[in-house]
Amino acid sequence: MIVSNETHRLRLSVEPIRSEEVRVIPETETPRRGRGPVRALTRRHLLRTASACAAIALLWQGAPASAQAARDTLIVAGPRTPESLDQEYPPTEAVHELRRNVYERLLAYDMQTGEDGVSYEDFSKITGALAESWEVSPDFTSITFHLRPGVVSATGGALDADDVMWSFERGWNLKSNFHWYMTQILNIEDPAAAFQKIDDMTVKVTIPKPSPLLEKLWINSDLGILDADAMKPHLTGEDPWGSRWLATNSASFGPYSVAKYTPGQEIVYEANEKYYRGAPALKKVIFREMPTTANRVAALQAGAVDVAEYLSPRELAMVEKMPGVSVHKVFGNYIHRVEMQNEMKPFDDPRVRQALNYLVPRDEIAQAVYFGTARPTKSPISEIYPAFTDAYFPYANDPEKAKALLAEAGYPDGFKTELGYRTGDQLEEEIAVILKTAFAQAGVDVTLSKLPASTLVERYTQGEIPMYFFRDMAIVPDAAYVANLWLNSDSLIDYSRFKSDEVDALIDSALTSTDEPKRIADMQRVQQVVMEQAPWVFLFNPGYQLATRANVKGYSWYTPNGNAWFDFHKE
Amino acid sequence: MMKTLADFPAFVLRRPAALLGLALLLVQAAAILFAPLLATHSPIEANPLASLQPPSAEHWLGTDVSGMDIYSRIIFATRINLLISVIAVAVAFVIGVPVGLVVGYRRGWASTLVMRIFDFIQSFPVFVLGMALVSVMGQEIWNVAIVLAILFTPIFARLVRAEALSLRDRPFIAAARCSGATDAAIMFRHILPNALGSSIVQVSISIGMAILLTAGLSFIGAGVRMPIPEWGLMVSTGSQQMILGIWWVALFPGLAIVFSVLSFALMADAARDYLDPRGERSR
Repeated sequence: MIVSNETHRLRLSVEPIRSEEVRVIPETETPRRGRGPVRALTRRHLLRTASACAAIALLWQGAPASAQAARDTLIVAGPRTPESLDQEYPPTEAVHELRRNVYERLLAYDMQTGEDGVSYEDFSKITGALAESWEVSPDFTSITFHLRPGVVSATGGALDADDVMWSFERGWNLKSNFHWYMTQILNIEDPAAAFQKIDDMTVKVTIPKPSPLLEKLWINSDLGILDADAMKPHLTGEDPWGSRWLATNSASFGPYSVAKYTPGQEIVYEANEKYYRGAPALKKVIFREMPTTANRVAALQAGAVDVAEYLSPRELAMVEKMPGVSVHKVFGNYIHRVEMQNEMKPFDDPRVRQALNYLVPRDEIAQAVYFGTARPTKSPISEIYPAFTDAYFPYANDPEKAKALLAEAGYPDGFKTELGYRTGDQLEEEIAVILKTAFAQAGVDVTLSKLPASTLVERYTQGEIPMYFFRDMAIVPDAAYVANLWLNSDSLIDYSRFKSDEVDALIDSALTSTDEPKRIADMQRVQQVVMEQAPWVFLFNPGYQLATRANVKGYSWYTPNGNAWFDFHKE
Repeated sequence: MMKTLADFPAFVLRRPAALLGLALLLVQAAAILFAPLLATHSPIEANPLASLQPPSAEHWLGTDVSGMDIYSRIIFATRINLLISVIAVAVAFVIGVPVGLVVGYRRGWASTLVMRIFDFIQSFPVFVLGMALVSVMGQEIWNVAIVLAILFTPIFARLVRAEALSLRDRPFIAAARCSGATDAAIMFRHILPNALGSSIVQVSISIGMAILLTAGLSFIGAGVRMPIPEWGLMVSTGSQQMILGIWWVALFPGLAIVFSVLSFALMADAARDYLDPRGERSR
């Protein structure tokens, strides 16, 4: 898959500059250096020519990026292009955004407009997407999808049950995202029994045990439906599921298709005029990779881009004051925390973990690092998800209490430990320095380790680093799903090695129970236990913010935090 | 032929550029010796409520993102930066000079092998090698010094070897050999004093290079750890605020690097002119 990626990358990178990009160079700015007949080539002449070339190059780079570009073209600056266009690729922020725009799934949440004018998903109301209607059996063990007639993919293929069945089959066989959801959340073991084509427009999924997530799960943008007819020409003996082709191409029923993909540089989305919810207002979305946040700020300020993603809180505070720029801020679902390795001394003692929580100067961090864009985390569950409660959060900044707890745990003089954070993550470094000073109040001497992301991940997955920063979000708005990811001792991403038999049992029962009030009560008990046990140093929910030019309207927010360009338009 | 070291101060005093270098060196020496007295705040204690304050009476050079006092950090960083540089260069000198001498004096497969090893070390881009070594050995101050020592040893060895190669066939060496001197005596008593001039100049140059390299390694996350005060690291964290108009966080430690490197460069210049057998260069 990697090899194929490389070859496509090479092919794509030599594509000529698209004609419409050249067209927008203002005539008045074309370099006017050629004077009369050809003269002897002097050094000065060379320099002039070179600077003229540089000017042209700059114009070519800058011109298509101009915010004056057509009203139906949007230019976006983000930290990185998606790593792969295949929905079976592990989810990253860039990949989530791609999926939101390219892949269409069976169900969706109804949208509602919040008081801030942003449209949000209404987690209490599910609506049909590619499935026009659906039925769930009363015992929550099967769901039948009736596909929407007349849905057409970007390449013109009509949606039918074969597309859905082929997508399921592909997902199951590739043993990645789809397979994980089906086996881990829906407990499916035998795909032949689980996925069934009833007729040309009807598909049924049957699961062995009841699951309260049987409906909600199909809203995830990682469970998109592929256009099987568009995929089939690209299947080969060695690559029966077209992974090689799909890594750099798109074939789904979403509002956009990928017209150009140059990893590390840009990705160009083109509108699917036949999209079932109507043709997108923005006909073309050009996403440019600009890894340095300062560059994204500068580009937005200059009007070279319409949208700048993932700016730092300090930059947002500055950008907000610029004329012609809007900053959209939503609650979001990220949780940023320091995880402690619960099996490693001294963090195997809950009193030590509680003590560190009492030492965090949350107000100061909120002000100095987040500029008021974040809120302290008071539960492992996102505040916007059902069953959330902050009633059990006791951790005010109380160094005396922390010292008492450490003394009780046998560390009256504190201890030495290590805190890892990612190279290049300025925010984590700032918080780390503040935590080092704060923890020192109780004699806890922290060594800060700035590590490349891969090294940090390796060390915490192996349980070899006592403390590390961790930032994640759970995209299914269900407390049991979230708790299962991070707090179930069987979970592969319970990196802090938190283990509570009670929590495990409550999660396991909530994942199969369909008694919603009981599930909510159980999940509130989980939050209580987790707050008492303090497996992490609870820090902040940083929210999600997007900076755009003021004429960009229609901002919407979805749980994977990727922007849905279909909802946007330019005035 | 050799000028004595005792004449050097008088030589420096006659030259304004060298004098400036010396003055800057003395300032650094004072910062190293009296850091706790000169600093106004703790160099490593964060104070989030005083984050990013511009220069003021309270914080002479302003504060950084974590609210740490930049002036105090620059003073304390002198210790770390010069400690790393001086140790690295001293180790490189002590190892590189004798190795270069032996390799230059004696030919043979062993000498060739040693030179090929040095070629190997030097064929890597400095930063790539530095990053690789630091990531293997761990991100500690001593390791940064060791990495720099490894990088500098071949430089000294090559310089001495080149001198030794040209000296070993000179008549005075033949004379020494005829009078019964052993190889060791010839190398260390006759060749070494004549081969040392360029290496001594290189010492100052290397110290300047070491400061820049430490700064560079910290900049890319392979140098010292936060919040240890180190000039390069301070520039690195401060550079991110530049676009927001917060100039003081990166500027002042940057100036400290400039002046420190300048002081060693000026001293190196003076030493080179002093040791130049053709007399003082005039500019």
